[in-house]
Amino acid sequence: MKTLFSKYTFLFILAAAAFSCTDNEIEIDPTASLTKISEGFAIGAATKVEVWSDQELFAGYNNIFIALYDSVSGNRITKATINFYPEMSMMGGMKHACPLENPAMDAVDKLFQGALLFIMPSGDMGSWKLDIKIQNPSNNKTGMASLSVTVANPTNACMKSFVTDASEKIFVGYSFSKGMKVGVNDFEVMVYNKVGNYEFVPVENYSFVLTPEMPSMEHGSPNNVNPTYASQGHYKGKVNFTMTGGWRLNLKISQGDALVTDLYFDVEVE
Amino acid sequence: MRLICCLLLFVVAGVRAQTVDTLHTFYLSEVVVKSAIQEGDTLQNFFRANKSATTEDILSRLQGVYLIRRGNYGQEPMLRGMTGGQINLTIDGMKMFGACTDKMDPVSIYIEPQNLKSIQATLGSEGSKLGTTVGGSVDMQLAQARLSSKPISGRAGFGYQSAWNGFNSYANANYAQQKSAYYVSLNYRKADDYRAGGGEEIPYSQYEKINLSANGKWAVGQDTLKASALLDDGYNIGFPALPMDVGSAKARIYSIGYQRFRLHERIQNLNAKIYFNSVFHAMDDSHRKNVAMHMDMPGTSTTAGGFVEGNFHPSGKHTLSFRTDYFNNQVLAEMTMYPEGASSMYMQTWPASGRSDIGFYLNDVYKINRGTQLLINGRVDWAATTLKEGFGMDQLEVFYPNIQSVNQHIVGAVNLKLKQLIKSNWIAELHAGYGERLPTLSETFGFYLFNRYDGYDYIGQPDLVPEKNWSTDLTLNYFTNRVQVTATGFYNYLPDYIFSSIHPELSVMTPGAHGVKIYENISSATMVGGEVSALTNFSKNFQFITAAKYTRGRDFEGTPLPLIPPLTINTTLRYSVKNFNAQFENESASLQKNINAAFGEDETAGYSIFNLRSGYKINWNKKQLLVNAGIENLLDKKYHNHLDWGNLPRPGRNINVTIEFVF
Repeated sequence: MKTLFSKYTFLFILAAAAFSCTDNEIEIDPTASLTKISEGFAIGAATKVEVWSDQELFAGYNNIFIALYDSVSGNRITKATINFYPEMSMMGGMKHACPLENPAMDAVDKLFQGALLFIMPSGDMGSWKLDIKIQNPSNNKTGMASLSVTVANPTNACMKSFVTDASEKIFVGYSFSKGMKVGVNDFEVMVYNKVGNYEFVPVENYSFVLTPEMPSMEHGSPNNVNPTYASQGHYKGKVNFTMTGGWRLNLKISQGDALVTDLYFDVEVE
Repeated sequence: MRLICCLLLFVVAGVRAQTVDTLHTFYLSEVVVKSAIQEGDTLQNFFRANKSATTEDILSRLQGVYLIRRGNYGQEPMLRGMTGGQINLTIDGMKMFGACTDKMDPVSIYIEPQNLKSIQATLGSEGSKLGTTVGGSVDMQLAQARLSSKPISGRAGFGYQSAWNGFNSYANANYAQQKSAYYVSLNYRKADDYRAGGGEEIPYSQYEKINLSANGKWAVGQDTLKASALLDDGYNIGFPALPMDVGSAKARIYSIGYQRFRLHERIQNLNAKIYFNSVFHAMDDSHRKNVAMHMDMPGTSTTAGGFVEGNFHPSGKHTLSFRTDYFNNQVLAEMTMYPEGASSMYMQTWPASGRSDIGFYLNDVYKINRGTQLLINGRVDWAATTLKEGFGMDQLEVFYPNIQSVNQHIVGAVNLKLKQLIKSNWIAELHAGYGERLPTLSETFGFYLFNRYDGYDYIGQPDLVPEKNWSTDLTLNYFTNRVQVTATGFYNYLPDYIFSSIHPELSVMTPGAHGVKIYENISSATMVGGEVSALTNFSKNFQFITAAKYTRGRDFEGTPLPLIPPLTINTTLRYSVKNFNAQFENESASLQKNINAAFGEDETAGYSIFNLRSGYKINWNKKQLLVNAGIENLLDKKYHNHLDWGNLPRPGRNINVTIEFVF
C-alpha cells in the first residue's frame, strides 16, 4: 500500500512538472537595463514606436534603441527601415539637427539600435523633437512618429565643438561601449563636420593622442590605446583607469602632421 | 651555553629535543631548543634587553638576526640580510601573514614576550621545515598551559621606561590539575613619543596595545588535546619613518591541537594542529600635519591551515622527523583618497588574492659514530597563487592584459650538514644547501605600493619566478669548562634575486614619489658574512660574552644591496652573586659605506652605546619578587643604525625599572 501511494505521488509530481514546463519559454526582456524615453505611433505605418536609451537623453553621444510593435496585433516588428529626423527649434527661430546614425534594417535582440549625438541641451536655448520615419517592409506602409524629447545638460560635458582653420565646425562626442570601470575600457570618439543645419558629415581623417589623467593627483595611466578610425566617424581605442574618482580624458587631435586642437572630457569612474 | 640561552628565554617544557645529546654544545646557525633551563635563570638576562622588552628586541640579540626599524614599535626581523618573503616568520608552527602593505606588521608585532615559551631561529635554507625558504626561519613558540603538581603559578609585573614615558603591565597564570591545565596572560603597553639622544623628541612615535591569550591542555589517556586563543589589539601606533601611522591593528590567532608523545615504538612526538588567524590593519594619517591628501588604508589577511609532524626512528642511528602542512592565506588592502574639491578615489593596493600551499618535509639525523653526525633534510611545496576576478584583477589588467587568475609553483629545498667532533673540544660543522622561495603576494600583485625608503611607487609582477639560494657555511666551535668560542662563515649565491627596476614611462600615483618601479628577478645577488661569539666564565661571579655579526650583500654587478647591516658587536660583562646581578653592555656598529645610492641610501656613521642593567631577587615563602633596573644608552648618545629608515634616531638615555612578582 505504502509503495503504491508513493509511486503515484511520484508520477503526479512528474506530470505536474512536465505540464508547467511546456508553456511559454521565459522571455528575457531586452529593455530590462534601458530607460524609456518616449513612445508614439507612426501613423500610416500602423506601428507603435518606443524609444529607449541607456539613460535619459543628454547632450552628447546617445545610443538609441527602437522597439516597434504592430498597432493592431501588438506583435513586435523585427524588420523595418527606420530614419531619424532630430530637430531643435531655437528661441531665435533657427532650427537645426544633429549627427545621427540610423538603425540597420534587422532588429538585434528585438531592438533596432541607432545613435544621436545631441549638440545642445534642451532648455533656455530651445527644445528638441525627434521624428522617426518607419517603413514596414511586410506591408510596404510608411509612417512618421513625432515625439518631443528632453535633452539634459550633463554635469561633465559629453560633447565638445571647435572651429578649424578652414572654418569647419566640428563636433566631438564619446562613448564607453561596455561602460566605465577601473581597468581596461573600450573607448570610442565620434567626430562630425557640420556642413549645413541639417547635414553632419563624419570626419574620417583625424588622428588622436589620448592621455588620461586625474587632475586632483596629476597622474595618468599607462598602456592606453589611441583611438584610430573604424567607420562612420567612429574612432576606437582603449582607456585605462587605475582607480575610481575624477579622470580627465585629454585628446590631442591632428590631421596629418598638423595639430587641429586639444580638448578634454571629464568623467567620473565609480 | 650562550646559545642555549639565546633560545631559552622562557620556560621550556616538553619540547622535543634534538638528539645531539652526545655533543653538548649547540650551533650558531641553528639555535636548538633543549630542556632543563629554569624560568628566571640569570643567564636569560643576557639576551633579554630588559624585562619590558618586546619580542623583536629579544629576537635581535640572536646571532644573525637584525631589526629594521621604522618607529619605536613593530620592528621587522632580518636574518643575515634577508627579510620579508625571504624568511619564514611563524607562530608555533602556524603560518601567519601581515595585513599592511607598508610592512608595518611583521607577525612578531602581535606576540608579546608573555605569550612566548621560546624562539627557534634557523638561518639559511636549512630553516625550510616550516616552508621552503632562502633566508631562514623564526618560529615563536607560544607558552602553553603546564600540567603540574602546583595548582596555581604565574607572574605579574609592571615596568616603566623613561625615554618614552612608557609603561608595560603584564600578568599570567597557570592553573593546573592532574589531567588538565589552563594558562592565561594579559599584557598592556602604552608609550608616548620618545626622546632621542640629546633631547630631541621624535613625533608620531607613540603606541598603545593590549594582548590577551588563553590556552588549555587536556590529557586523555596517552593523548593530549590543546586549544589556544590569542588576541592582540594595537591602537594609535606611530611610525615616524613612514608617512602614515597605524590607527588600529588587530590580530586573532586560534588553534586546536593534538599531541602524542609515543604513538608506536618507532613513532614519537606526534603533533598535529588546525589553526586560523586573522589580521585587520588600518593605516591612519589623521594625526599628521601637512598631509598632501588624506587617505584611508585598511588591510586584512586571514590564514587557515593545519599540520602534522613527528619523529620516526627506523634504526638506532637514524632519527627522522617529518612534517606535512597546508595553509591558505587570503589578503585584501584598499586605499581611498580624499582630494579637496573632487570625488574620492578608491583602489586596491593588494587586490583580493591568495595563496594556498601544501608542503612536505623530511629531516634525517644520522649518527654515523660518536663524533660524527650527518644531517639531511628536504622540503617540497606545491603552491597555487590566485587573483580573484573583479576590481583588483581589472586594475592589474591595465599593466598585464593577459594576467592569469591562477599561477602554480613547485619549490623545494635540500640541505646537507656534517657535524664532526674533533679532539674532544672542537666541533666543526659544514653545511651545503639549496633553497627557493615563492614571491610574496605584494611582489606579485602589488598596485602602487609607496616605499618611503627609496621614494618610489612599486607595482607587482605576476610573472616573477621563485628566488633561489645556493649556500654553504662552516662553523667551528671550541669549548672548555670556562670558555666557548664559535665562529661561522657563510656564503649565499642567489640566482633570480627578487629586486625592482625603475620604469620612467610610468607616472607616479603617490604625490611626491620619485617614480614607479616594477618588481623583477635580477640575474643574481650574493651575500657573505659571518658571526663570531665568545663566552667565558673567568671567575665564579663574572661572565664575559661578546658576539659579532657581519653581512655583505651585492648584486651581480657588484653594487651593494640596500638595507645591509654593518658589522655589529655586542659585548656584555656580567656579575652575579646570590640574589643580585648586574651587567654592563656595549653595542657597537661600524660605519656602513657599502650603500646603494640609487635606492636613496646614505652612509651611516658607526656608533657605540653603553647599557647598565641590574636585577635583585627576593625569595620568601616559595614566591619571588624580582626588581630590575637599568639605564640604556647611558651617555644619551644620538645615533641610528643603518637599518633605521629615514635615519630615524634611536632612543636616548632610557631609565627603566621593572618589578615582577612570581607565584
